[in-house]
Amino acid sequence: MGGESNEGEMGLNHGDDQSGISRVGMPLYAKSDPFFSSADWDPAVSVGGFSSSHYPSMGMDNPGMSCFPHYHQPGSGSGYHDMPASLLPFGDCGGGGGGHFLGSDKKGESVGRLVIAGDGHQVSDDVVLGGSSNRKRRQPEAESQWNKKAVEEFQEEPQSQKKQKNDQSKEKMNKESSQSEEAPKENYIHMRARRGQATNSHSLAERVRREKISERMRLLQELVPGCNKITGKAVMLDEIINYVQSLQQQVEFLSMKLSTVNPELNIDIDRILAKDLLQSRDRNTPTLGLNPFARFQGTIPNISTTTAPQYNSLPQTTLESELQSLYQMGFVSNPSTMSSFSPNNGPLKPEL
Amino acid sequence: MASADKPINTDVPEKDVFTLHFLQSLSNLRRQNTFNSPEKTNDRVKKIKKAAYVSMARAAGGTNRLWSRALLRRAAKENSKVVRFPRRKKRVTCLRRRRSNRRDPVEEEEAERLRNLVPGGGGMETSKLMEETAHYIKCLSMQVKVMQCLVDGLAPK
Repeated sequence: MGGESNEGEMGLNHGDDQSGISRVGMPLYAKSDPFFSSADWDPAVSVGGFSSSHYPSMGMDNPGMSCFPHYHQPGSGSGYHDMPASLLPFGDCGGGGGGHFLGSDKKGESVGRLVIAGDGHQVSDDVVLGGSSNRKRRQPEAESQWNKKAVEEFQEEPQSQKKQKNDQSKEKMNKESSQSEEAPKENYIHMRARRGQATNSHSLAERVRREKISERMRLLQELVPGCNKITGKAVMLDEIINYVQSLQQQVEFLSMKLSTVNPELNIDIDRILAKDLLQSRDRNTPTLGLNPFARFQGTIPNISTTTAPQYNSLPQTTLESELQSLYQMGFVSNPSTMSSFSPNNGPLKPEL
Repeated sequence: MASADKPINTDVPEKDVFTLHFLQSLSNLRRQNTFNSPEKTNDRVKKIKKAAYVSMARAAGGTNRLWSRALLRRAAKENSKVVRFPRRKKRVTCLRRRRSNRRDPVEEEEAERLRNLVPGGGGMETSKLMEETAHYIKCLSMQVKVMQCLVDGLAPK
């Protein structure tokens, strides 16, 4: 689901920016990332990866990226040692921005994307990590990886701790697969900004939240009958609310019916218990071997012995004992018997 | 895409669990002396309804779900009984602090209505609210099925 929705949303996002560059630009960024990485740079991988044909288009379509050909001209691995040094001025600019785009208008999207949350002095480090991660995982990972420019981390806790934990968690994240759906060992939600979108911590948090909500909306859509065609949160929420209300009304109506249908619930409850459970059991275990409409007294002991083993599959293992005691006691309202029921709700038992 | 949290779990127990809890609560009701007097039908209806909800909350996961916890707490308050819950892992107060950041004005009115419907919705974030709603819907439909079976079974033939 992550992969698919990434590409789908990526398509939408690219429509907002330069759509012409969308397909071409994707590998561009990934390849341009290594520009900024020094320590993890593996020249053998990167140099072969660059196709110079991309760069003219880069220059053409995105004026903001005019800085790139400038960096590329060394064209070999040796040239990249200069990169981090030359990046530092940008890093300083970025320090002022603090998580926003790198200082000047020159930045264009790719450079801006590479700025990672917050501190200026961390820019180069973060960019290094971002670049290396992109490069190393080029092959096995899906296309959606290409478009991730910046790495943002979000915690559920106050954001003041974020900056201290930035480095270590990023390294952890880079070592593991960044496509894993769970935050590795921490409470972070690792989030990468997509191309053409702001890298504010706030906007990224908003996006995370929106994606969460839409995921849950999809879940709810499957639950509520007849909501397959509805797209849009407002209408969907209306439907959900109506459905919940109708369910609650049904409960009320049925409870009214129950109270009128049988004022005394003594005698028939056993029969209902047997018949009901047999009916539901019949769907699960067709080999019950009992006539559901058999006489009440005669079959109760049989039921208790034959159906008791079946209840092992139930999540509550105490169900067997409860049912057996129910049957054996003849549903006598013995308080001691009743209190033995549902031990998992122990402290709440005295309520009713 | 953001790396998601652990997958959303909306499993509900089987129908038998709901049946058992409901019948159990009904039998408890029956034991009360005031219950069988045929005059006060409204009270009986209300009691049955409350018993239905409480038994549903218990069957569906007891104190593991926010909505069931809130439901049981509400019911206990009406009975003026003191209820003690085992400690949860996260505190709701943490979520409350973040609520100001999470508002989206378009969907918030709808979410507000949903909060009024789902028990315990007032303290939840929107995404958590929707999780709870999903589970609540599943449990409600299960409870409706159980009650329908009961009514059909008890109906004079």
